[in-house]
Amino acid sequence: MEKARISAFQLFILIVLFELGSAMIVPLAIEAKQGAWLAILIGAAGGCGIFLIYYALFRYYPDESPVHFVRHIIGSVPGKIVAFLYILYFLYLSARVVRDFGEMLITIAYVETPLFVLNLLMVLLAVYTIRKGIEVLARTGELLFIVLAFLFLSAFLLIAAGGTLDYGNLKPVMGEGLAPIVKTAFTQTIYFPFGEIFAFMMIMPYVTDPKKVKRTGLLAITASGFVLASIMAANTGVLGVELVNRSLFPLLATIQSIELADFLERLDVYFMLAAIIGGFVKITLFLYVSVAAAADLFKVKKPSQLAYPLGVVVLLLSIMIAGSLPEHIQEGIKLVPLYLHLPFQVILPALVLLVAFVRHKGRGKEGEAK
Amino acid sequence: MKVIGISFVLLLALMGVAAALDFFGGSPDLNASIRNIFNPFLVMETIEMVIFIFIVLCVFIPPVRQFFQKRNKSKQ
Repeated sequence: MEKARISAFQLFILIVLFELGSAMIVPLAIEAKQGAWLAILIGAAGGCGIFLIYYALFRYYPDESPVHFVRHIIGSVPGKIVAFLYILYFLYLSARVVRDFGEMLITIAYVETPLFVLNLLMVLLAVYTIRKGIEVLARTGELLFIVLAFLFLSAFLLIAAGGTLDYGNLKPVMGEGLAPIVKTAFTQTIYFPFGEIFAFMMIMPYVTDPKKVKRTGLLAITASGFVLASIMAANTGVLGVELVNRSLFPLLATIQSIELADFLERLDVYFMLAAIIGGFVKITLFLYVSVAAAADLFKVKKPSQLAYPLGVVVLLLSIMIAGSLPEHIQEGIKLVPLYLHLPFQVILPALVLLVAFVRHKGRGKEGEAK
Repeated sequence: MKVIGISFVLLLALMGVAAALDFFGGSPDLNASIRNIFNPFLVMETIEMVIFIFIVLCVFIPPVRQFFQKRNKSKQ
């Protein structure tokens, strides 16, 4: 672990930017139709529950990275295997986000540019930031957060003032009952984006005041849940469920629909800025966590030495993971939540917490007996 | 060299993960999944391939330089 310190507020900002990242650009929870915003809020509540599991683990070992404490809890060899699997998981997710944004840039702006080149630019930026350290990323996050907040507030004002918002598109909220909404929440939104906060297990030890981690984490998940729910409600209100379902990037279509006073139109730059800010933070954080965990596990003296090679690994993987955009999306919706998110975000942390709880309880009783 | 070894092991493992997901996603067999992984590199244009090779070669520059620096120091 590098010797760095970040404040609770910086942690809050990083979590919010990370959660919004790629989630705001895709049609999140659209399977729940008009209840998408509700599915996101339920997902956020579930995300808070998952975060409490991570926080409980963090409380046992507040100064250690998960790569260290997992070895204390479940033993050296199984701990190393679990840590290695998590490094793979974070690198894979990083590659998925790189691919998401590469495909987005190709689709909407750089039609003639090869995917490899766009991905390369994003990865190089992430590698550069990682070499500078987590403190620099946190401070950059503070600046970007202000830009993003301004973009969101002004975009919502423009959408409301533009008159394109049709509240009728948001009804009926539970046309097919609560079941599809809960199903969408528990099969998708709880894992993506809220469960991905597991990556912050590597960042939490850097926080200057560990007591504030719990409140900050819960507040950040709730805030990002509300922002994402508002975005999906705005998308559904402006475009209608059918169009959101068919659209690859509904937020872009929503922003493109803004036409105000005959001169405020074609505000695609709003979408591009917001997407690139979110994407940058998410890719960088996933890659940072992978680099820090790999340096810890393999005992590399200077973690920054791993930044570029692992960046290249992410770049290659982002090209390899799928042959086309539809295949990439299908894998992301059907396979990744089931085979990767569920075990790595819920099952493994819950099992490790259970073992940690039993061990600490045993030690407490031994102490009392002595 | 250790850094290159770590990266290579991680890349191989991740290729395995990508192939496994492709297989579970409906690929006819594991060989086809492995072929699918390499397909994007087979359709690269020349300039893309040049950038790709350059980027990969850059990974090897620091360890090789370090190796020669160490050798020169030990000779002195």
